[in-house]
Amino acid sequence: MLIRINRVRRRLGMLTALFLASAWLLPTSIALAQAPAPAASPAAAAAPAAPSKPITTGDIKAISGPTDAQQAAGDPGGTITGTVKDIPVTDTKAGLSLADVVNTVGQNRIAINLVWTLITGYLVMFMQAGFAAVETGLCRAKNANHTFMMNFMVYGLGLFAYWVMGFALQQGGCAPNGNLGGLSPLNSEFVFHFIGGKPWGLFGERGFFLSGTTYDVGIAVMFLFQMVFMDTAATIVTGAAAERWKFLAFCISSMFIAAITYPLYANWAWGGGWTSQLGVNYGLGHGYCDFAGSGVVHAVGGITALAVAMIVGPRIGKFTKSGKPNPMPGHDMTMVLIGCFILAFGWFGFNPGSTLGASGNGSLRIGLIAVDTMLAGCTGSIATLLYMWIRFGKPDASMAGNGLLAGLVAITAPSGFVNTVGAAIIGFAAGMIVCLSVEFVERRLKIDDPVGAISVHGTCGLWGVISVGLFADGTSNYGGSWNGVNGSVTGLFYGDPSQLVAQLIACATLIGIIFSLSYVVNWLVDVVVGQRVSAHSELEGLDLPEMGALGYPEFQLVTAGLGRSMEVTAAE
Amino acid sequence: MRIVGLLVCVLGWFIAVLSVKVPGVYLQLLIALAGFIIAGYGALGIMNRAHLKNAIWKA
Repeated sequence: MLIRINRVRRRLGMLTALFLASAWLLPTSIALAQAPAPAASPAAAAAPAAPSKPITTGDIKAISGPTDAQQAAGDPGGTITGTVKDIPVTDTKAGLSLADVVNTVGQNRIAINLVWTLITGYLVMFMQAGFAAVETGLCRAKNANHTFMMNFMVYGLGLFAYWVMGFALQQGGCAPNGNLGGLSPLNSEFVFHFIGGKPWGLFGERGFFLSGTTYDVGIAVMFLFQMVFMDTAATIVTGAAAERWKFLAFCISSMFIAAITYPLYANWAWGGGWTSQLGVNYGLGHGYCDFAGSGVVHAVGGITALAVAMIVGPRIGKFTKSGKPNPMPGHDMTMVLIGCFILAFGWFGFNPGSTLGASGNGSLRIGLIAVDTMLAGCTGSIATLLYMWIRFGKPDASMAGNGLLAGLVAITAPSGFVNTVGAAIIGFAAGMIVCLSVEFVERRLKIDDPVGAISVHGTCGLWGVISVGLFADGTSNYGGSWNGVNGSVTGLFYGDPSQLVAQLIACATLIGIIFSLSYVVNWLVDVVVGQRVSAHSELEGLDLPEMGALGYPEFQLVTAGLGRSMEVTAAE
Repeated sequence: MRIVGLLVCVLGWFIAVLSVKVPGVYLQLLIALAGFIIAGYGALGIMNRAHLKNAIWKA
């Protein structure tokens, strides 16, 4: 009994000692982690480095892989699959050489990056389904076919226009790109000299129809990835003009944004154009930094949506004669929220995919980018939920969905440059901003935006661009430089106010140039073919007059304001 | 008024761009911000107001 008590005492004593030791060690280790790395001791620095022995083809040949008998027995542990035997040999007589190994390493790196970029591009493509669901759900049932078809056809129309000329204007001068094998044929940018005699890249000149020297494996991957981004911008516009936009006008307008408006701004940001060179030419941080497209994709889409919504005008019945807005709720909230989830899923392609690779040049930051993305989306939806609950007494579902999207839109530009705390703040602010913007657009500007596209993508896109200039923490390192400026992108809160200047110039460009261009083009479309459907078609619902088929033919749809069924209206 | 609005938009952009020639980063910040606001005023303040004059809900 006494022996047992002694053992227990001894164990307790050891546990206490361990606890005290760990309590002393834990803060020490934290302090060590936060402290700057100590300089190497002189003794260590003076120690002679072991001479490195170059690897020769002889060394390579000495490596033996598994025998045929071992492989024939199967490999349940995965230990003998993927060995020296799997390296392709160029000269079978001479056997495996050092060049074979080195080339395989290089090709594997590019292969990882090509596969990564393709798969993330596929995710972004699937976002079209999310947009279609969100927009259709937020519109009335009598316009379901029309709204969904706009989101469906913007894919085909946009892709065609982008293949013909959009991609060339955007990326025609973007080479080199180390992650995708160089993209060397994309080497010609139209440049003119402006303020201070500095070169201003305006648009690319290689890659029309992806023909000639741009018939290239890496360029094809780049095209696919950039195309789905463009298509995201183009599909944003359909939401703001839904329920009264003539389908023909939509087709022309969408092809223009895919061929001209989007590629121009994307070139200036991502194709080596003038805003990306504000750092090199004028010392403004790293030039305009937009990691995945808060400005390039979302603000371009949202600002074009603003121009189109102004020209098309509000839906009949949206405003009273005194200008007071009437609510026009969508017909399927479940579709809206499913669409939001699809979009949030696709955003994991949007932001992490924008590294254009998973191997080399700092691409391993993809994990952080993904976490930043999900965090900002969540804080955005929480902020919107709180705002609506406090202001209107109910947690509004459609606005919670818009809050999620607002956070995701805002984090798109800074996702590659900020830490998780910054991401959470950016998302939360976006959730608040989208609520204020929706009210401002509807009540003050009296612009009818059925899905909130102008606020979610335009306003929060601009906020995302600005937030890079505030929250970029200077820890990202994509190959040692960004936009030709050495070092990491750093915002105002981390010591570089000049980055914010570049971001503000980009915002002014979005409104001053992109809005103006979109407005002029869509005004011309209005003059030539007309942007808006007839009042009769609008009241009836656009499904029959514009598309020739109802979205929900087996339902009895009562047209708001007329108090009669669609069938009666159609029969007339 | 729409053309005036467009011109103000472009003017705002030009002011923001001219900030690159100004000495002092905080002055640059101020001018770039002013340019951004002017461009926004051109779009939302002038052009939108021109559209609202003939809005269908006023008829």
